[in-house]
Amino acid sequence: MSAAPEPARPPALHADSLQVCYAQGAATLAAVRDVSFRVSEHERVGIVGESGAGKSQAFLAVMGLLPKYARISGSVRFEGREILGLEPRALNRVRGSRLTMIFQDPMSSLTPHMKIGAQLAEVLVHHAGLTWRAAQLAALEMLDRVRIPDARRRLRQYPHELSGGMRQRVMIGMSLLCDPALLIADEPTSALDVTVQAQIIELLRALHAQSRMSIVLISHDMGVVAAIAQRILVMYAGRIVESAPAGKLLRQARHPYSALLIRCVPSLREPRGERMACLPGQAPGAADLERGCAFAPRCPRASARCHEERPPLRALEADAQVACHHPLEP
Amino acid sequence: MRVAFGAHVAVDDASFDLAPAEALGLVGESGCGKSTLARALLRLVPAARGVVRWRGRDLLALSAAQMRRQRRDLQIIFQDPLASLDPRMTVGEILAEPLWIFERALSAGERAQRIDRMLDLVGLAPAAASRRPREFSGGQCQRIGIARAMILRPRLLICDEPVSSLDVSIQGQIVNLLSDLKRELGTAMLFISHNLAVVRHLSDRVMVMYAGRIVEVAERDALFAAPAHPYTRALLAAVPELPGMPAQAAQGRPDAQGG
Repeated sequence: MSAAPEPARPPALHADSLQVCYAQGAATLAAVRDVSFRVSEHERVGIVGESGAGKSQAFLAVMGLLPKYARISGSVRFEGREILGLEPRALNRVRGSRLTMIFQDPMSSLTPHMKIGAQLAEVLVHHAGLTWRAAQLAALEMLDRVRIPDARRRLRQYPHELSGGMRQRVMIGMSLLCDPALLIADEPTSALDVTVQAQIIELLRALHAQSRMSIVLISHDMGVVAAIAQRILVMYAGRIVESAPAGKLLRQARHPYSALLIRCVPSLREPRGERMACLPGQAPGAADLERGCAFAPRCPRASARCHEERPPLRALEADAQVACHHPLEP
Repeated sequence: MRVAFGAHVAVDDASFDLAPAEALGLVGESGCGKSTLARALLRLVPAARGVVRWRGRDLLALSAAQMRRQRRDLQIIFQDPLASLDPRMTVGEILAEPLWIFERALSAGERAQRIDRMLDLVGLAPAAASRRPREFSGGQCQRIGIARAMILRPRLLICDEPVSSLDVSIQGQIVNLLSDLKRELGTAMLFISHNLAVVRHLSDRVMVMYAGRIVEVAERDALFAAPAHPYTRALLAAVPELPGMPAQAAQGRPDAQGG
């Protein structure tokens, strides 16, 4: 690295040139292309982009949850320590305790035939060496912390007896049991009603404020990301196309894609036009070849240069970067 | 069309009208009974009690054979676009199926023409006809589902959370498509969603359900401007808004495509 002095504490997460590829016959599909970013201690970062942008793939790579045939390269340092390619025993000590992840569908993360209390307690017995009794008590406290009413009764219930929103709260609780440094939430509200979405986001904010942990929230919905992120990274076709503090991005997005994503958040405030705002066409998949800017086919500002030459990610200001030949001007 | 039934606890004493070529939004949280209500209208689930008056007849009183004949005018699309489509059939076969059932007299050429025209209407290329659902994205699968539902020019289309599984950037494509089809084909629509902000664009009137009951029905603008029922007000308050956003028009951002 450079001669600049290292910060006192390492960032919670530091990814450098992360790449995830898959072989398909003779071709190579790139799900994540050269992604670099940092998540500081106690920071809330939002990752936004349409389905297929590579957001989940990047963080599944961080967690070591991709299949063996995924070809991962680059570097990912968690609390200063390289975790890509870490041997399973060492990774398992970190994963689920200091580094946790929750997903869109809690039902597939929760064991259907085990009671909630047992599933929570299991984490503490395994990672923190608690006795079963102590773990059950801690589980009860955690259910209170994630604002599940009537927690004592819920401990004895099975996942299917809880609503979607409740199950997500249980998952959040489970991910916090060992006081993680980083919680990755991958589309945690996408399967929930709008009314419940707001509650879950608010819960995450509150839990974040009560601890030192960092949060990465991944979503296709800019509205959800905007409700919690201090900084936002916008991804498209496997790359980061814009990175900026949340307030700055929402007030004045520089990349046309970011601006369109903002425009597409369904809002009651804007005057009711005939048409609902949306993006045309669809995002490219991993298989599509990259020539020029991946967004050019859908971009209202694309020039000939955009179709030929891929714009690099460059700094516009000290805290903002964009990958665009014709960024929007403030 | 007049519906009145008090079924089991899922739907309790629900009554409403839907005019020809009208779009009625039906909003409420998960579990409020809106999907059950929609399915009961089409007899996909049994209603314990009530009348569904459709073009002079009570749908709930028809024999199975009589009801089958009515179904060409009563179509539905669902939340999970891929799960609604038979994975072993090509898109062409999926669109041909309703024609086989209700318009047997068509020649092969006429059938192909209808399929082509329908694909065009929903914004898919003619080449889509030879592909299978898994080759398409969620938004495209929903277009296929809409094409299948609309190929018979039904008088009523029920849309059960048709965009909830789609990225927000794509939701507008489907809502705008439904809006266009309603205008061009004169179809009445019952549009079910948990999100009022989505319903706002398509509906002429909006109905709000809570715990199996209809708690408010109003003209769209009136409902959004001055909701009467406290639950409606709560639903409106729950729509997440981007924090501190000035009016979109003032920013000079590129316009989102209406596509």
